[in-house]
Amino acid sequence: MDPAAELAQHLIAGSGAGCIYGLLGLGFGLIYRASRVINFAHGEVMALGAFCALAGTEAGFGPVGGLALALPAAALASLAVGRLTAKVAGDGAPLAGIAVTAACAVLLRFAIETMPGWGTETHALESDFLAGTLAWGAVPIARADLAALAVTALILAGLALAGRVTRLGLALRAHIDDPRAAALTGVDPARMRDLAWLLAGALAAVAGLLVAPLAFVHSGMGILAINGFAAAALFGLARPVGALAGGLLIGIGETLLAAYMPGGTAELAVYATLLGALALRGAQSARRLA
Amino acid sequence: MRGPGPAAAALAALALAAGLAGGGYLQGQLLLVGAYATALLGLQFLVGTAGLASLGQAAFLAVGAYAAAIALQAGLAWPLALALAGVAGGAAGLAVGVLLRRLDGGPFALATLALAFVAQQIAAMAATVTGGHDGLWLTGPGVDAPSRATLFAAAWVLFLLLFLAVRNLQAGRLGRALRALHQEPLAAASLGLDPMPPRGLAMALAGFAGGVGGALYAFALGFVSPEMFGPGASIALLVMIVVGGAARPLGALWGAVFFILLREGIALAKSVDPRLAADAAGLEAAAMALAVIAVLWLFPGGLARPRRTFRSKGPPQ
Repeated sequence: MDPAAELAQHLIAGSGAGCIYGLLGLGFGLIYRASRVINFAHGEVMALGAFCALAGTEAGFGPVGGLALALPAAALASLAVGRLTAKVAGDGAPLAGIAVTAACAVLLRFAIETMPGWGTETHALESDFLAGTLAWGAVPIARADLAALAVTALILAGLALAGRVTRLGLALRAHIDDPRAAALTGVDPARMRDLAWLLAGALAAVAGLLVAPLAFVHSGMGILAINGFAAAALFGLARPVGALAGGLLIGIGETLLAAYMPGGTAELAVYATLLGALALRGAQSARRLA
Repeated sequence: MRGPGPAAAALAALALAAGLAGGGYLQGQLLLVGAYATALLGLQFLVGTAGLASLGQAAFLAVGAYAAAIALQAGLAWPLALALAGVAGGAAGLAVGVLLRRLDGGPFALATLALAFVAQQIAAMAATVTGGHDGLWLTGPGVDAPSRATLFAAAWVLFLLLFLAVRNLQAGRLGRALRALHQEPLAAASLGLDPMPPRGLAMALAGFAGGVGGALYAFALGFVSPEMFGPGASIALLVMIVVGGAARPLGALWGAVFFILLREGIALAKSVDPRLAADAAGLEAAAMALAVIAVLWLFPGGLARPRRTFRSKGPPQ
């Protein structure tokens, strides 16, 4: 393959991965902004979504049927983590929240591993719709990458619309902006926090389904969410578009570095960039998030 | 002297006596408690006083452990290697403190998590210095490795000294400045309190304690590798201090005791019931996770409860 086609292939693969990181970052940022919890169980919620999608697909309902199973399962698991964290750690306790969500992550992973048929093995999602590649000239394009790009664009547009048009969306945005002022106008903060956890769980389920054909499905796949955290934080946690932009930058950068540089450089670069970006943007984001 | 000082001193003396008399297994476990507790003291100061939730403490443990290993292999005596580890950890902490001086809350936590990744990746990639994934040994010919009994005594004496230092710093001017910056940033700013010197010092102290604790841990295991100091280890350290109680230095000791007791308890259960041993490592992690949630549910604020300044009559607001 000529170098230009190879580069194009890496760019598309990186964008596909980047969209998945963006979806994860979107949910992570949503939870952080609505409830001030750094959710370390987000990756395991995604893994649960991926396993449910796998189960639905293997039962013969296709990826759409898998998603129908994964969405409620992941959303409810996410809500359970959120409720438990609020109960144990209390409101406004980010420190205990980290401990409780990290413990929930371990428990979710344990639940997945003890599920009959799931276990600690790696599984492949067999789907004619998502598997395989298309050819664009000399450039092979994985259908899963295209699906990730299309689905992410749809979700982002849908969320933007819902946030401006629907009452619930407006209420959630008001709560995120200023919980006290929103509560004074009748927006129940507890309900808004629940909504954020549910929505983040659903987004994680979509990410889990999309990542399944690109990587294998296994109980340790939650580690991918770390890149989602980085995506959310890279441009500040304040805007949903920022999470997507961060995800794309990380996905493309990681793919290019992995392809053209010695092993390990990609991971180092992603986290050194995140560290630098946070330090540089410190004054702004600290004020906005205080 | 009021407060937890006498209790901690009595506990530490008891542990010291038990370890010296017990030997073998008990001494080994108490040595690990001492190493963890020392590393956690720095985190406790950072979290409990400055309100900075650091997910990067393992990075400082790594700096200390590698500094000690490299110094030992260069032919230095072990007390010198230990001192060097503390200095290297403190310098690293100060540098990170300057770099992240404007961050707090969630962004600080994420930035320090990124730091833990970066440190682990550097340790894995700089193979000529760190041995890469093969790691470094702290034993062997020509290496001045301390005996376990010596190391055990050193760990607990260091812990006690650092405990007293942290307790005094927390009650003194530095502690007051850090609490003001965290709890009343506006008031602190209106008093003209510059956040940098106190925050930088807090990070340097976290790094120093982390470096000493990491070196003790490396001496105890006789080996260092990048896998020991990843983000997972950083998160585990933060969980330990939250469970132990971040508000008081004694929480560092409780966190370490909780972790080692639970780990050894699970190992004991496995040796008694072979069905448990057959199961994957997931069971051990799940039991720990449940214990963490249970402790935080029953003891909000951790095992070493925050001291109440006044008694409230109703439920907490």
